[in-house]
Amino acid sequence: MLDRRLPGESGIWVLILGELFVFSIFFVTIAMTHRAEPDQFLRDQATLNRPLALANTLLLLTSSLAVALAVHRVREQRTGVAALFAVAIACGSGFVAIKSFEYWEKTVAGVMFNSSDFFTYYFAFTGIHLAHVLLGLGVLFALTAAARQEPTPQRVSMIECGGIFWHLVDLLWIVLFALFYVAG
Amino acid sequence: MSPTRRLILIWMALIALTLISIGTRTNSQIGPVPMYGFVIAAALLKVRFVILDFMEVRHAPWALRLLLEAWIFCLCAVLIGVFS
Repeated sequence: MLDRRLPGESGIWVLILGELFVFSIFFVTIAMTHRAEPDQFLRDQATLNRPLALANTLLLLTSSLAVALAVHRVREQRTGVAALFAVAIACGSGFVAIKSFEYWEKTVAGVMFNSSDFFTYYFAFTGIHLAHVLLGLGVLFALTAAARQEPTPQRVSMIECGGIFWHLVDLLWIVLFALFYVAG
Repeated sequence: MSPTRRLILIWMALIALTLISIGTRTNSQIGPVPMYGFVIAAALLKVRFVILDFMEVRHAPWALRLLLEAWIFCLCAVLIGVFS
């Protein structure tokens, strides 16, 4: 019989569930907009930079792998943790740079928050997600520092919590990417 | 299978699902509703991998696992239902 163990601490799961609830409302809103105004939605979607968004998806998936591997190594007290967190931070930073470029690209083309329902939701929801990425990068820096210290049970648990938050950032983007960029 | 190997295989599956999803866009034989359904289902399958294996909920207490699995299922059903 496999022992079941709560990863991290209950507090992080309260946060995760809250975030999933709020973002679920965002996701359904996007789907409803797509359903209500399909032609406008597809027209606006066609102006998005899908290759860059694909790159962003691959970056976040890779950063999540790096974080998951790092957390395992922290628990097993193996080396390579700092390098893995560095990879995750690099990927996350790449995401921020690419997203910023996408926003700039749209802005100089005159496409803004109030250009259409699609773009209102696009800027709002990817913007809120981007704020989570920035927060997550701060968390990753803190985890890198924590991993250098003595791996007490509390510290390992805290590192797990940070990792779980980063995976949330990844999974929210997976759905946003599908709804805004892929589902046509 | 070592945890490292498993995580890497899951990451490869996530990449593959991403590319396959995008690939469906170029297939004109699939109708818009089934294509949409496939993209959403693929996305939620990716989310499930992230939750179960990266967040390690696969071996978490059943209450949390069932709650999150139910959320994945409900969100998938609602997103597809809204569109159909």
